[in-house]
Amino acid sequence: MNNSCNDSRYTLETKISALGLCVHETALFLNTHPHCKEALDYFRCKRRELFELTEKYEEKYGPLTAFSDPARDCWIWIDSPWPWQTQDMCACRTKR
Amino acid sequence: MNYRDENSTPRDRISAELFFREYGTEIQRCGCRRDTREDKPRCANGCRETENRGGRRERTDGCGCMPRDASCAERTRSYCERHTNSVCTRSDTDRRTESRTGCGCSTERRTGTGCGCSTERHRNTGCNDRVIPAPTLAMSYIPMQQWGELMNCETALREGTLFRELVFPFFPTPWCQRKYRNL
Repeated sequence: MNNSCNDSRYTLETKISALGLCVHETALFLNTHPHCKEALDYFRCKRRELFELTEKYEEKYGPLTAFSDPARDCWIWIDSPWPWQTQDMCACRTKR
Repeated sequence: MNYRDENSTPRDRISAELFFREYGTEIQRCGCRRDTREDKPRCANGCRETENRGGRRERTDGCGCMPRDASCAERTRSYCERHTNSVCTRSDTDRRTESRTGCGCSTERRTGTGCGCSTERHRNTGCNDRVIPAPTLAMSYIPMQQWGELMNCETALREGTLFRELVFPFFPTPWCQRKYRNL
């Protein structure tokens, strides 16, 4: 249960990283091609997916960045595993 | 160069005339190049260019229409009713808003078989914006990237870029290249 939970978390983190890269690359392209319709459509689509996935992750596992910590009663940012720790947990399980 | 033109890309601001002026070729407003050394009729009605007034070329009879590049058969300008069969069809609005490549053709014209423009530079070869026909010495040129083949997000994360044409793996030894191919 714990392992599948970590896998799901790591999978989500990977997907968010991948989407984030796509959005950044498209933004760089649009800096020099501000009127490219295909790029604009692609950017809007991927940005929406990124926001949705990030929201889904943060509902389940807590804030993804320090900025998205709700900061209501206490600072929970430091309580959850760091991203490289979730990856290590999955890697250890795979090696056995 | 007009830096305050919000519709221009950095590529547009560096006018193509800067590259071609001294070589006897000029960029027409439709984006097609023509050799000014050639002396031939520009329009089906036989009008010729007389002088360059603020970038516009005028006929000898003063109709004010931009003469046609004889090699640009498919481009006719919509506002010139007297030359609808002989001048560029792209309106000024289209030229300002559509995505410009170095050749002046819109991205819609650029298909796998060519951009649709009949200029010698592009005929049946696609829009080859990467070729500078008359490069100036001691200057470096960077081809303008086009929106092309994209990879899916997971592959892009692994390769480090979203664009397949920007994947440049470095292989210091042949062994590294073989190992990369076996992945």
